[in-house]
Amino acid sequence: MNKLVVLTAALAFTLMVSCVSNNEEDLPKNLGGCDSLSVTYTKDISVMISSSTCLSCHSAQTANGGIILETYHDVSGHAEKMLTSLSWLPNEPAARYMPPGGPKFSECNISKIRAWIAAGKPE
Amino acid sequence: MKKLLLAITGLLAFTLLRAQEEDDLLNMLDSQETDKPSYVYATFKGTRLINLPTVEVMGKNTLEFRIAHRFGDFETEGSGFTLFGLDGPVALYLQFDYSLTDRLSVGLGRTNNQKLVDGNVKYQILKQTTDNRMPITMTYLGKMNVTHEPKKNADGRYDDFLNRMSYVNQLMVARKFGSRFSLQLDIAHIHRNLVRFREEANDQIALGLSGRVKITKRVALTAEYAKSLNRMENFYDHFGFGVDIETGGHVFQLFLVNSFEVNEAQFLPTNNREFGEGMFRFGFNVSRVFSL
Repeated sequence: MNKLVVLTAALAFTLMVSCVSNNEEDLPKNLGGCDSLSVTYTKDISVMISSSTCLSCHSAQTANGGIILETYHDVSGHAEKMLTSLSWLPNEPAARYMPPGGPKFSECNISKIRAWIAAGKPE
Repeated sequence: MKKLLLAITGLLAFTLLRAQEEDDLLNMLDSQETDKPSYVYATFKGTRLINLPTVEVMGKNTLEFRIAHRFGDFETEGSGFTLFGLDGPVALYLQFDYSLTDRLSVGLGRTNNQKLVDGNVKYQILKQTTDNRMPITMTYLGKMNVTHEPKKNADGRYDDFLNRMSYVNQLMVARKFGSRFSLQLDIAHIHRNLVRFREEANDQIALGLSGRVKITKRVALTAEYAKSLNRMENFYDHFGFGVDIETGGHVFQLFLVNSFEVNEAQFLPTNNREFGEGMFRFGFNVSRVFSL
């Protein structure tokens, strides 16, 4: 019986000290190692797309939402919409969040897409 | 001599009295045994209905292995090449639950969404009896989640290990009405150490309602709905309906559901799939029970 009490107390204590309340917006942005200068489609954006889950819904075969993200032409045509969907803005309907079910793209990748659009989407 | 007779008589009387008492005790025990409550069984066929857990706990020394699978959106604007979402993307949840007693089970699970691993404890506090002295079954489920997403993909999100953790406390109350219909009410408290937005609550309270109607000996219709009371407005309520098919040792649960994720800490506060927009999916749970 004593063991049970000790165990319960230890568990309660662990739970108490392991509860915090943080949000991503207020976390320090760790973009020190993020190179968003001279972003190009071939060097950065296409690598980002092919290494995530985008193409499981947005290949020429699947074309979910009528959006294909396979070539430079495809991606540059949808770049602004892509940036909005990937940014997960709190005032947007969550149904438009990409990728659905997460995980959200890293701030570094999102800042690269933003810089790429601002630079005129170089190939 | 008188003293001896008195002693013997006393002893005899004492023995008789004790025997009488023992008889009474045995009678009491007998009557208690006949009073022993008989419990209502199979309020639900599995430990989960669709996404929501049920009041059920497997019998002592039983290991349950569950596979939960969700496909992609059934149909969204402009889609048509994913064969109603069957081409994916998919969500997969694997779970092992082991019952230490008839009322207590511990479990371990993992889902590919956010690479979430969970440990859970489930305890059946009250059991519905056939004589209605106890009209409900009540079960508590506690869950602790940790994500093992690689740190390098998450720009500082996981610099603090605690940001990987989330917790679920859930109390379920169910009643089986007759032999065919069961209804369950849930209240859940979810705490996530890290949320996405400043205006998003780390602690959320959700209510759930689930039901089951038995059609034949092996087939039942099921439905469930859950709403987080203080979620952000741009997310959606959870809803699903389907069918349970029992084939000795296995329970197959087939359904349509809007939520993509399977863990309560994900689909209750941040379900981003809207049923009305074709953002529902085909999903199934398969469970296999092993007696150890």
